[in-house]
Amino acid sequence: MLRLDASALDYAILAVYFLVVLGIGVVARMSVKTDIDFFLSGRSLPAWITGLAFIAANLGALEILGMAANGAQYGVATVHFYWIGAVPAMVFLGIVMMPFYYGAKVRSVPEYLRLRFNNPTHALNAATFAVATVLIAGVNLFALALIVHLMLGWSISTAIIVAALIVMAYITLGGLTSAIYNEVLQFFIIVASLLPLTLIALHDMGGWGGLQDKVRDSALGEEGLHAWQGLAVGNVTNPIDANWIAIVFGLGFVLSFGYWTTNFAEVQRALSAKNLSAGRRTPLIGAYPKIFIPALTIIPGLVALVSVKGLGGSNPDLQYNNAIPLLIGRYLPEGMLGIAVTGLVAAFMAGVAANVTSFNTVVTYDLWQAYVRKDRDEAYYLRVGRIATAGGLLISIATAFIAKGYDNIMNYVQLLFSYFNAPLFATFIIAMFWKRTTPWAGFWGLIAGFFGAFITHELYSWGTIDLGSELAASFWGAIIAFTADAAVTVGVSLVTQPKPDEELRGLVWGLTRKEEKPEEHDPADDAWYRSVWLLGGGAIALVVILNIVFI
Amino acid sequence: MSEQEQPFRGPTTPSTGATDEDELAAARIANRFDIRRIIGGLFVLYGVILTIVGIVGSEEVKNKAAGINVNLWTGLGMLVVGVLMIAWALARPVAPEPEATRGRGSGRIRRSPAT
Repeated sequence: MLRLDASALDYAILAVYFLVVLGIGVVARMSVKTDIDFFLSGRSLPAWITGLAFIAANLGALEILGMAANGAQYGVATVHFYWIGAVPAMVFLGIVMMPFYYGAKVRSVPEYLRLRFNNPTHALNAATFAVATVLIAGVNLFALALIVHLMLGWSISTAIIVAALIVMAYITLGGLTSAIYNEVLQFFIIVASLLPLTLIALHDMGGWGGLQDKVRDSALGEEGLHAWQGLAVGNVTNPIDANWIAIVFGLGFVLSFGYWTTNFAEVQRALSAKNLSAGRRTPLIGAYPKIFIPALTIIPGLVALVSVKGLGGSNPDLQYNNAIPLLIGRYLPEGMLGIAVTGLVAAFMAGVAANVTSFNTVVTYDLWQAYVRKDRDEAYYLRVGRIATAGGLLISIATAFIAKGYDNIMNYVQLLFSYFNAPLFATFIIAMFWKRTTPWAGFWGLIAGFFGAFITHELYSWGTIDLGSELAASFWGAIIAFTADAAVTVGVSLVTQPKPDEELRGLVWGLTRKEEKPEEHDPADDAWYRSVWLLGGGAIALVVILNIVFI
Repeated sequence: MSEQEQPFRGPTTPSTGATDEDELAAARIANRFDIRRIIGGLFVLYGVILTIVGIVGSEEVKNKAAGINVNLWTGLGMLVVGVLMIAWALARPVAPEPEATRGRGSGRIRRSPAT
């Protein structure tokens, strides 16, 4: 049984963290009383904070444990999730797409669809996003409970409820600002625990050279040390079992661009920056730490692979997902153990909080205000937001308990919602660059993309078509969803009536707003080191170099 | 609020109907709420705890991490990061507290922190 012997000191370290998080909520609440407009103060966050929150919102434990598991299973090729996937998409969001989101003054991603297309497109996207997000919050909550159960021995039910109550306390007290502060704090703690763990594990294996030798002798072999070997079409030998087309277009262009540029839980962090310049720099600043995070997940994964006998076998304690907890148990003494457990628990809570804060915004603005009760005062919608937060967390708790009993059902439901996400990027990119795109094209494009992904996966799971491994099949499903969405969006646009140019100002490439508000421009943003082209270009150059090094 | 005090207003202070006391309180809260102070404080605390455990801990605790005293080194590292964070927050506060700039006559306020 995987159990960490946490001492009183380790519990004290965890308790201090909980107190600080709740304290942030209380201080945030106090500042509401003293006449600072809380939401405006939220919009005044500097870019380095929103940038770290941007990646921290995604750096939940599912990501950390999952990527370490991928590291053990697929080896160095796991870097594709970061260097082909996340980073180019983040650069694209910052340079190309943020001006549309921020410039249109939308409060959420679905709201952009409402302005650009029509109410049905908006309602479809808002509703699927809300349901998917709250379910994923529940899955995150369950994963958190599972890890607390494994490491500290609490019962899963206790862990679910305690974690949910803490998240509920600090979000209802402090709202988005509270969530973002916690994300940034969590980011530093997770790095403070994973960096020493990685260095120690590497040292114990005899450095990078020693680890390489051991990986060559392992099940992964030489292929496990390269990112770009064995990807040829028709001759796939790499551990991911997908060719370069599936990786570059499926994982990179469709799935990652779709996630990083249209997922509101992410974009919300950039929208909370203090001005357009800071909003654009948010994903670009986040890209730099993102480039180096794989070192903290893949190396522990590889070390676990070569040093834990039976990893990935039938013993449930030794599944790939436990790679990092296993190393924590082996290497970290009391004290550091407390920091590491705190980092993981904080990462899980940040993931839940990111989902819940985006859920309550979409429910309040995009569903309740848009379709149920229009034209009420601000205090009314603030109240709706608080109720949505509590409601969302209650649903997540219920979801977590369902996940506890029916793991497979939850996986299937998540898969179903991923079908809605896969084609989204096609709709956005065509809408932003082709002003002829009509209101109904948005709606039917999304529907077509959903069925494209759904049918592909069904045919694959019946064995009708052969797409390689499950992971490769999900890449191909995304490519087909994207193509179906794009084809239907263009087709419907050609036979229906487009919106007049006047209604599309600020929403489409080439149709800028007439009046640029001068007071929003901060002269300090003209400094060369704040240039989005420099920041974005630097991130891309770094990724290209790293890909060549690990080719 | 009189005319001369206008130049002292920072960009993050409320623009309507606020008294000097409100501005001061707002600036104080903004600074106390500064994430750099929170991260710094927590890292200093954790750093001190780990460093102490690294010094007084048993041989088993000191050697568990492949012979490296991980508590000591991580503790010192966290201390340094924590102190740097607090120093950064103090050197360039989020919101200038009005009393600090009042009476100098330049009308300048301290810049908000680098972003």
